[in-house]
Amino acid sequence: MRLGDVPSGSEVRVCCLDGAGPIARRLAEMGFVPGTLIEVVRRAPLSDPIEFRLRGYLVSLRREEALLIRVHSTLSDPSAIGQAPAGDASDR
Amino acid sequence: MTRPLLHLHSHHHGSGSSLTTGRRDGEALVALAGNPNSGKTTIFNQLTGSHQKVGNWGGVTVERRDGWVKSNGRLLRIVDLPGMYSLSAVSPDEEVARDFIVHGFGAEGRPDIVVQVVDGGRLERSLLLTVQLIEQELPLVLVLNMFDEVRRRNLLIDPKRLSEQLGIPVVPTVGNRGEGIRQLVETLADRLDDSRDGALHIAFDDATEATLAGIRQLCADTGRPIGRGYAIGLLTREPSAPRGIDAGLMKRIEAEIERRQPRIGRTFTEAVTHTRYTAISKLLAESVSSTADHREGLTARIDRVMLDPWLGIPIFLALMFGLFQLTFTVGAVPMDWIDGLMSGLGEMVKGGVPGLWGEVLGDGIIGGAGMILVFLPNILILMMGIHLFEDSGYMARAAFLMDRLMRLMGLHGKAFIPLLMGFGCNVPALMASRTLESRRDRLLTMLLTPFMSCSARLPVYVIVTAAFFPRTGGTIIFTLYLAGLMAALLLGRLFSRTLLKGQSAPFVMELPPYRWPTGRTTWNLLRFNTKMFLRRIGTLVAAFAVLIWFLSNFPRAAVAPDPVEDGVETAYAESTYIYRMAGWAEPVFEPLGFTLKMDIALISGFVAKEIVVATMGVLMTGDSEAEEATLVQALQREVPSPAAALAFLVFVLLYTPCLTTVVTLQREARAWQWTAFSVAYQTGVAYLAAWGTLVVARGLGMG
Repeated sequence: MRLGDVPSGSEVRVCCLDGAGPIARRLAEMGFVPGTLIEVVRRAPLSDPIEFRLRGYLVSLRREEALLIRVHSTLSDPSAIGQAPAGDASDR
Repeated sequence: MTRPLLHLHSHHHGSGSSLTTGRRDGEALVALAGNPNSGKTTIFNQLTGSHQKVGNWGGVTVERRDGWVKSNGRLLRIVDLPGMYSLSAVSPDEEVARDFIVHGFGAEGRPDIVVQVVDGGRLERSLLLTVQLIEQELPLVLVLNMFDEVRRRNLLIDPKRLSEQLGIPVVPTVGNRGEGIRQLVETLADRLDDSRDGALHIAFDDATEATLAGIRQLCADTGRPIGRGYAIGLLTREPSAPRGIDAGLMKRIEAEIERRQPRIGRTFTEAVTHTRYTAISKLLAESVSSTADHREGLTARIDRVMLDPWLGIPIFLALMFGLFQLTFTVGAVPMDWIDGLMSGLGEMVKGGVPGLWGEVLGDGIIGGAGMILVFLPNILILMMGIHLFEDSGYMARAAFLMDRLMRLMGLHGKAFIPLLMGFGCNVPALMASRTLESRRDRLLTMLLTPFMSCSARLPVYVIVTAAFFPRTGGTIIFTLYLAGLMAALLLGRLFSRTLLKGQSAPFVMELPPYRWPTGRTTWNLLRFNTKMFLRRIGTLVAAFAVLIWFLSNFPRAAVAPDPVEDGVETAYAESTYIYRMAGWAEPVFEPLGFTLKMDIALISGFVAKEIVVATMGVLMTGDSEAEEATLVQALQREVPSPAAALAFLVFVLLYTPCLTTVVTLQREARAWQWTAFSVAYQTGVAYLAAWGTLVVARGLGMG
């Protein structure tokens, strides 16, 4: 599942980031790192960009960038996330 | 232990000026860094006793500002830096901050001490920068700002525990009330004298640590030892890091990274940021025991309405419309009595001061420059409205709402902030485009910002509509504002498909919590803008008014004009300097239906739009016989038709706003081709649009 497809009002956990380069770096620095809890707050009119809450603050991303972020549902075991980078990397 | 805080002066540098002053003797350089919108400028103002502008959106400060404070016999030079989320800068304003801290600035070198200002409510995200700053191996002091909000929201942050964990001093402050500032100054003085180490050290995984050691070894071997922070910058391919490292060495460093990069799994960059955040989460679990609802009650409730998918945009438009209504209805009341005061004063001076000086003062300065003074209330109300958008935190929401529409026009959502600011004044709006990440987005925004009708254009609209459209004036003015915005968006679409092709940069924008604008910042804004406005009128506009008065009244030796005979007066007027100088303009503007006096007003308005009204005041009312004639009545006589008046308004809306915007554009874009293009195409667009307006208005029977 990718963050750009998660319906508003739900919570997910970051699994990993696709892609490299400045945008992936900035997303990570803004707190989108494996294991982080993200709440999808709302979508702007015309459903883009999307507002998220994480680490106690609000940030908006376009759907395009949010699709770079792979997420898990919060129901899966958080301790397993981010611990298996090899597996994540192989299906890129 | 109350050491007196001695406020010294402060100033800020234009980015274009090369500053090579270095430091004063014994002066300590203090960098004020932090995330955007964490209150750095408020702390700076408190420390240095200055009144720099603050706001509630990321990017109010786009260039460094210096101020001085004396503490315990030491002179501290405080440098307020633009906000940054990380030392890996992505936009020019972040680069200013990063370069100062990582590379140092010319003769000054790197700062002696860094103060990171943190919004206590957004501590977790801010600590990423803290960790990076610690790795830079400069003495660091953490300022936990907005501590009152922290307490109110029941976030139980323990500054003492945090200080122990990070190994650096932590000072809680409430910037806008000055709480904790004295303690901060004392901490700074103490920290400068004490070079104790022991700040938090975050260890990365084995592969990362081995590569870092390898990079540092390579550098040390070639006689250029680097610190841990610098090595991390090289490892994570931070764009500015290779600066100052020669190409051969850089190649070997690249090879080292390539050799050690794990074949599968995360890149070093991912690993480093992940490890940092993991360490931060662990640390916060100990020093923050939050009983707060993490949903930030008030902001969430306001946003539910303001950012509603259906209501969001209508609410925004209603707010804008309300602001313009307020500008005209509330502003009109003091306008009337200032107007009365000025005409009375003009008469009195002309009556009281004999001869030429009476004419210069009465017709030139008061009749020309004083005319503009009437608009101070309107301009202040408009400025105040834009300021409230900025200060409350709504600006970022407007960008959020508009990003999709902006993107249809090839623009970046964040560009909406400079455009909106342009309604107040185009100059800070042009500078605000620095918060955009890509040069393409910045150039595009700067080319379009001048179409946003600034407050200096307002007087022209008000006077011309008062003369020709007394009943529909408000609607016409609001339509002009919309037309400017539409022109910006349509040309944005055109340019983004022709001159400035390419993708808009990614959109990553924080939405700050809503805050009540403080009385102090509002008061400072009003005071500052009034001062600037009066200064402009007292110097630039008054000088131009006198110049125009002189040029239009001399040489007068040739004839002693007998104003009774119309023909003689015309001949006399045509012999004056200004008619000789500006005669070329008559055929140029004739297709637009303008008279020579209107042409001269437009030409002098290139310097500043306030001068348009001042020039018309001098040229049209100065030599009038009927002394009670106001500029409004003069316009009805001098402007050929309502259609020409409308065309005139459209021209004023669209052509180059003022000389300052041209200078600012050149300073920001650093490419005279773009500056020249900007002036040329705006004048072209203004000409064509004015002509189209004239044709349509004539077609509608407006003469």
